[in-house]
Amino acid sequence: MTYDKSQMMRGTLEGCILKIIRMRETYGYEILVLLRECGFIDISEGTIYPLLLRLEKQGSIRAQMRPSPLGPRRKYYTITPSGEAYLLAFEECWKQLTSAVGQVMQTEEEGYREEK
Amino acid sequence: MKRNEQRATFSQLTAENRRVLRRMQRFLDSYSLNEVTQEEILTDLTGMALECQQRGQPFSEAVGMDEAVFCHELVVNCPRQTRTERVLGALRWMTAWIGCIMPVMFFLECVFPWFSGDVVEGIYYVPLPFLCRYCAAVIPVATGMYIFKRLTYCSRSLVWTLFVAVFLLVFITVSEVSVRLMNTVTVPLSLWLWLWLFGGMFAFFHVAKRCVALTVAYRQKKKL
Repeated sequence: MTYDKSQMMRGTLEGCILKIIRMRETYGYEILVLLRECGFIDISEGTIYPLLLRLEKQGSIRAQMRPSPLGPRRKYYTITPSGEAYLLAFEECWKQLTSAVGQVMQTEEEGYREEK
Repeated sequence: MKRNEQRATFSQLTAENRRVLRRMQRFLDSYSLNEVTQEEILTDLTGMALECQQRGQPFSEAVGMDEAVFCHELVVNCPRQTRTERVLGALRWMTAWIGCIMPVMFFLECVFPWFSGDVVEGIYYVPLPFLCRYCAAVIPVATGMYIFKRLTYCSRSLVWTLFVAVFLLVFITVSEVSVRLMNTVTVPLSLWLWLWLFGGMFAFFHVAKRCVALTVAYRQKKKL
């Protein structure tokens, strides 16, 4: 049975997108390229856009339409103060989660070795 | 402004990308989203599709998943139509369709003079059974299309079959009854009065619906 990582991805991607937007004002496709460069190879614009819309609707990011060199006007995103707070909370939560998961994984392996 | 921009971008898309977008629009229609929000989403998606096209990538590939799943994820946090918006939307729709009855009958009368009643100085003397038959044809079609557009996305063939069956049944029944009961009655209708009345009502409902939609969308933005 293969592991369905889409649910896990959705939660973590939100934080990653916010982090990228905090670094600089950017647009959807650029966020996608950056995420792919960081190792999120499976994601598409279809994954990113609903998350951006969700973040926009909850007030974490602000969008502004500007002309793009490719033709149609593009939405550029910036982070809002409430987005900053959301990102901070995500970072803390992520640290706790990774440390907890790491510990569980390690304990299991050590315990298995001791039993052996 | 947004609608014009979306139309201009849409016209530059390839047939395949247009098909994908139309399917998405149909799906979004079935969610009864706030009119302004839906326009914003469609403008974004059209822009996204054009960018993909210019990069040489099919839009469906960029979406990367089934359109229905994609749209379902999009609408999770979007405001839906309020009750007022829905009522105004339904009234606007019905007014437009009923308003078309008279010009259509008038047109048919001009093309085929033996078709129904007489036209004297802008007054159309129409036999009542004829008018009833037209109303019986238009009202179920308009109501059915309104419901069909908003409530269905899957099983379209089944819904259409049911719809046509119900429509034919209503039309034949009304036609038979009206011919038997009111064969000699003639109603005088003023074409201009009809057009002004329904045109005015349509414009009123349209503006009112737009105002409510803008208020809801703007209120949500302001809250943030």
